[in-house]
Amino acid sequence: MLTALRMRENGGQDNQVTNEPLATQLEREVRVACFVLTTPKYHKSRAVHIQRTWGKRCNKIYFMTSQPDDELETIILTKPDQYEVLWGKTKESFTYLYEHKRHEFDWFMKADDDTYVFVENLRHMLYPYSPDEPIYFGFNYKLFNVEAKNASYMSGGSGYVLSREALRLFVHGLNDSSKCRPEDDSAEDVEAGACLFKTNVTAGDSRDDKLRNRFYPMMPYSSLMSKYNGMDFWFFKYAYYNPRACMDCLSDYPVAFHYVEPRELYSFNYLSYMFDLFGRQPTVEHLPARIPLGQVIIPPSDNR
Amino acid sequence: MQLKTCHLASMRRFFNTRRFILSGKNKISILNPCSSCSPRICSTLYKLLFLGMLCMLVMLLSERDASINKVATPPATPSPRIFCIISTYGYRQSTTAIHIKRTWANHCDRFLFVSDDSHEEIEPAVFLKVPDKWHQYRAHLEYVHRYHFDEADWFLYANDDNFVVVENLRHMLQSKNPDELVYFGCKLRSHSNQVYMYDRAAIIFSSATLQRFVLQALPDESICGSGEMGGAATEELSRCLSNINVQAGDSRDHLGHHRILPLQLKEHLNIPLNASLELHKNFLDRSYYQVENNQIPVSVRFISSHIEYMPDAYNLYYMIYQVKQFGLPPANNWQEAGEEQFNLDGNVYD
Repeated sequence: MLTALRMRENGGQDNQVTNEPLATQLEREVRVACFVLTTPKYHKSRAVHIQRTWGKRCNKIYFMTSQPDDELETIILTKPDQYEVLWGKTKESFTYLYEHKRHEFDWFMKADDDTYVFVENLRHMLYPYSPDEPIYFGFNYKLFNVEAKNASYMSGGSGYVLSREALRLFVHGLNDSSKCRPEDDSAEDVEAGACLFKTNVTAGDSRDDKLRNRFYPMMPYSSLMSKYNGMDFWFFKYAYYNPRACMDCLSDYPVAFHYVEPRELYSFNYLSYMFDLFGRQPTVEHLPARIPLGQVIIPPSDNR
Repeated sequence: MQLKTCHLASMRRFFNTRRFILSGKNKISILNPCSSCSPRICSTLYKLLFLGMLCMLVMLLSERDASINKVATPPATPSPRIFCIISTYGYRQSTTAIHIKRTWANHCDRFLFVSDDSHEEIEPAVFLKVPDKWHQYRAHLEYVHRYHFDEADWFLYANDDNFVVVENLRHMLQSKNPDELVYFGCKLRSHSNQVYMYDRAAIIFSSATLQRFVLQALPDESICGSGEMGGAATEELSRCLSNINVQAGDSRDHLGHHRILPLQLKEHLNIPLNASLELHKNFLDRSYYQVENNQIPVSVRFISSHIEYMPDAYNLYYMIYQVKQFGLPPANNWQEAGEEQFNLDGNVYD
C-alpha cells in the first residue's frame, strides 16, 4: 500500500488515449466478481436491494442461495442455508468461482447482505496489485488462532476480496485439513483468515495514502464520532491497525461498510450517483502506480 | 533652492497654498519628475503619475482573494447570504445540536442556535420561560431581526434534528429575490385548508418577509395572534404571514421533485411511505402537492431532511462532502435532469 503512493500522470480524470472516464477503464482492467450469501427468505427483503444498488456495478454479482430468483443471478449451493453453515457455504462459493469463473475475473469479493460496497473505489484500491499476487484485502483484525504473532484476518461483515492467485491457493488449501477447517461451522471470517494465512496468502493493507480506513466493519458514523464507542468496546482490542475515531478518520474513497440496512443502501446509492452538490469543485484524479509482483510491503500491527 | 521658476508656477496652479512638503530644501524630488521648464509637460506627468497610482491601487485590490481549495466554493456571481437559526432545547442540545454544529452549521454564512439553556460549545441565544412553540417562533425571529438582520438575505429556521445542504439551498435561492415577500418549506395543507409549512422541516424566510413579520405582524393582534398555539405553531405562523401578503413558495425543483423532505432521506428513496405509521400518515394526509404511490420524488439537489438517529448526520455529511467515486465524471445530474426524466422507478419496492 505504501508503495502505491507514487502517482503517475494520466492527463487528469480521463484516459488520454481514449477519453473515457477512468472508472470505465478500470471496469475493463480490474474485473471483480462479487458474491453474497443469502437464502430465499431474504431474496426480496435484502438481496434484491443489493442487486439494485451496488451489486449491479460489480463486473458480475452472484447470490449463493438454495433457490433461483427472477431478478437475481443465483448459484444454487449444495450446503443448506443456515447460519451455522456459513463457513461451509463460503468454502463452496469460492470453490465454485474457482472452478467455473476464474478465467473471467481478476478479483473475487465476498460481501454480506448488509454490506455497502463502493465498486469504483474497490477497483481503484485494487489497481496497483497484480491478480497473480497472493493477497487479499478487507478490514484487518488481529488473528489469534494461528501460531504467529502478527497475523491478521478480514472482517466478514465489510467483506473481503481475494486475488485470482489467492483464490487458487485458498481452494487448494481446502483439501488440507491441517490448513483449513474441514467442518462447516465456526466463524466464517476467522476460518477464512486462518486458511488464507496457512496457504501463504498475504493479508493486505487496504488503507489509503493517509492511512485512513477504506473498509470499515460498521457504519461510517462509528468511525467519525470519537465517543460513539466506549474504549472498552471489543473493537479497540481487535483492530489490527490504530482504531482512532475522528471526523477525518475515513478515506475519501471508501470501499465498504457494514450494518447497512436496506433503506440505507438506497441512501448511499443516491448520495454516490444521483445527488448533485451545487458548486462542487471537480477533482483531478490519477491512477495510482502499480506495485510489481512480490514487492508488496505490509506494515505490521500497531495497535497494542 | 533648486527650483526653477516654472516649477513654482506649476505648483501654484495645483496647490493653492504652499504645503510643507513642497517647499524648502526638503522638497521630495518625486514631485518634480521633470526638470525641464515646460509647464505643459509637467502637468501631463503629474496626471500620468496620478493615473499610475490609481492603477496600482486597483491591481492590488483585485489580487486580494487567493483561491482556496474547498469542496464547494460559491459561484462567481454574488451568492445569496444565508443566516441559519437552529432551534434546540437544553435537555437535548448536548446530544443533538452539538452534531449540527460539528457538521452542516458551518456551511451557513452565519448561524445561531436558539435554546432554553446555555451551552459552552453551542453558545445559544437563550430564551427562558417560552414553552409554547408559537411564542418561540415569535421570540426567535424577533431576536434575529434585532441582532442579525443585516447579515443575510435569507433566514433559514431549522431544528436540531434537520440535515441541511446549504449549498443546494443557495442554488435554489439564487434565482429568487430576497426583497420579495416569500417563504419556503415543506408545504402542507391542513384539514381547514390552511396552507402552512411542516414544523419538522426547514423553513426559509426572505429578508423582506422577516422584516415585515417582525415590524408589522408581530405587534398587531389582528394580523398575528399572540396567544399560545400548542401544536399549531406553524399554522399560526403561516396564517400570520399570509395576512401580510407573504407568499408560500414552491421549494420543489424544475421537475417537481422535492428538495425539502419531511422525513429522513432513506425513507423517501425506495419503499413507499406507510400510512399506518403516524409520522408518514401526518404527511400523506396533509401534503400540499400531489403524492403518487405514497411517495414523493427526491430532487438530485435535496436541501433538507429529517434525522431520527443523530449519528446519521455524520454519515450524510461524510457522504455528501468527502466521499468520491473514483474515476467517475463529476455529477451533472442537475443539468441532465432537464433533458431526460430523472427516474427512481427502478427502485420502487414491488
